[in-house]
Amino acid sequence: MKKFAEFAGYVSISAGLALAASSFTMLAALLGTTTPGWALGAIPLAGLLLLVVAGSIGSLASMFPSAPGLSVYLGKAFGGPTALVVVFMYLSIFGCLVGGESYVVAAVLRRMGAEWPAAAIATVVLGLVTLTHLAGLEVPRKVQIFTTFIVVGTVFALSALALLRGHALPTTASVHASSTGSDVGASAATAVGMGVFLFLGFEWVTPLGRSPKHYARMIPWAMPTAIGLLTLIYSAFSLALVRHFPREVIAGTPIPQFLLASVLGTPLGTALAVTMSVFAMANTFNAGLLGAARLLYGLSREGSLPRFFSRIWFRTGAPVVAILITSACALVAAIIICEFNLTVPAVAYAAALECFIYGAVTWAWWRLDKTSQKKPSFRSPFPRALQAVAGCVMPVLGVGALFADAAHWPQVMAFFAVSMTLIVGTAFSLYLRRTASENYPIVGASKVKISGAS
Amino acid sequence: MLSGNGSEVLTSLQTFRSKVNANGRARKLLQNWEPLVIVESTDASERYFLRIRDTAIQPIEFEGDEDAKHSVHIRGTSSELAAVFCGEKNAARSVLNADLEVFAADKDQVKLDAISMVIWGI
Repeated sequence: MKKFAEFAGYVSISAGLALAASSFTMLAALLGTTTPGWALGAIPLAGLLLLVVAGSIGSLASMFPSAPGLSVYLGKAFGGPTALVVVFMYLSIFGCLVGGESYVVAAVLRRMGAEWPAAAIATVVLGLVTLTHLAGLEVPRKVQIFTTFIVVGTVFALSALALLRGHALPTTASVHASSTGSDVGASAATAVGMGVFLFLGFEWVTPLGRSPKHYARMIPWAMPTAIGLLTLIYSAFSLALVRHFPREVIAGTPIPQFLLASVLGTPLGTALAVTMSVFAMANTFNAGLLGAARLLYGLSREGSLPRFFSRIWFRTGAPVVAILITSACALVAAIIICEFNLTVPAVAYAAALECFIYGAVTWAWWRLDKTSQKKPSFRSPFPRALQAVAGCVMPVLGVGALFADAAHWPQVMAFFAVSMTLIVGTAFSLYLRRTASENYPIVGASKVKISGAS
Repeated sequence: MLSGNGSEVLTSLQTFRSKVNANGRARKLLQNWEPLVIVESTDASERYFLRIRDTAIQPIEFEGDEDAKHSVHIRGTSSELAAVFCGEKNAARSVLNADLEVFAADKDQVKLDAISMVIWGI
């Protein structure tokens, strides 16, 4: 029983970050961009590809238990600067995710009658989360698991009740009409690339193991289980949406859960939609902000960023500067996304980054499986050839995801190119700075040692 | 308390313990934080238990409750553990290099790192 509870805990952590409120915005964009058939096929296809990627990640996690994330695996396989590039890519993803979530928070609150500007709502929510983290109040793991189960339960309930609803709305006819037309707005790569976003962050369970033993089976199997669960949830939700609404209606809302709530036509539907949104946002804000702050703190502690970034508030033990900087960046991202209604381009950009990271980590496994002295206690059930296919396909999906917003894809593409140039440039300059600093003596140690001297 | 053991890990842990217990700022970090720290070497079958209680590290022990509700499990080679606990190596860098494995909640990891930053200045 204890083992099952631990396994369920890891599954819920793995699924928790992916079950963001903005994932449902992406789902609406996916259903609105392409035909229902393609969209419904893209979700399990993305899930299947990510199962292969999860096999590689599980194997790497068992090779380097408790290592803080994919950046470590990539650093081991391809060298230090690669790890930094991935860290900055993750920070960008968190910025987009938190910005997207803020926009959805605003949309939900407006729906509930609060007529505040979206940016003001984002500021208040981010402010509250930041204060909580500065106070050193960490959400207990059991509460995180509970909130994930609430989100899973409410999405299933909302989808099932909408599907069981006897007759579809009259608009259903236009769903089928549009699905058979030649106006397929997105290619397969775009649809599946957008689908990858729905699983974003499933790998964040890898640094969170509480025992070395959990890396042999429990954590590697928690990820595919979470991917399977997410595939079911999103498929049921999408099926319910396309059963009742035409593409243009689905694409026109950032909160499709309220569309399903309207199908039920009872206060229960609205209650389920609000509960699901609030808990999904709480999960993402908590895990996203905390994860990003810890990344910044870690960069500072290893010497890549100035020491100022690793300042601790003694009273609570919270990395105060890292939290404040992360929150400030997230707030800027949130205000830009809210003011210019850029949720779909932002999540498309995040999906593209994640596809590239997943592709790279598959190649990292390919390399380390042969060269590393550390042997994995978990072996991926997928053959090496299939891993190579996943490694080749994921970057293609990343490029495809950049086309998710038909109206803004040139801007998204340009932003992606500029941001990647900045990320790679910054990572390499910080790496060179760190390498140089490693040649200075460590002051304050019991034995002063100069790195590189024997 | 253990003594008379020539282990480099134990020696460094004892140094660590005395440094922390003698440092006011480090002890301030220990307020309301009472985990069981398990230190395990992967190449020498050594395992030590450090109980933190009343803002101080209690005497190091050979045995303890591995399934303690609030625990921090640290693993590495003997030389890595010795280097980290005597301040020769930056613990955060060792973790990021995957040379040191720490199984604990995020908050506990930052707390432990902050303690090493306070006592060693690295």
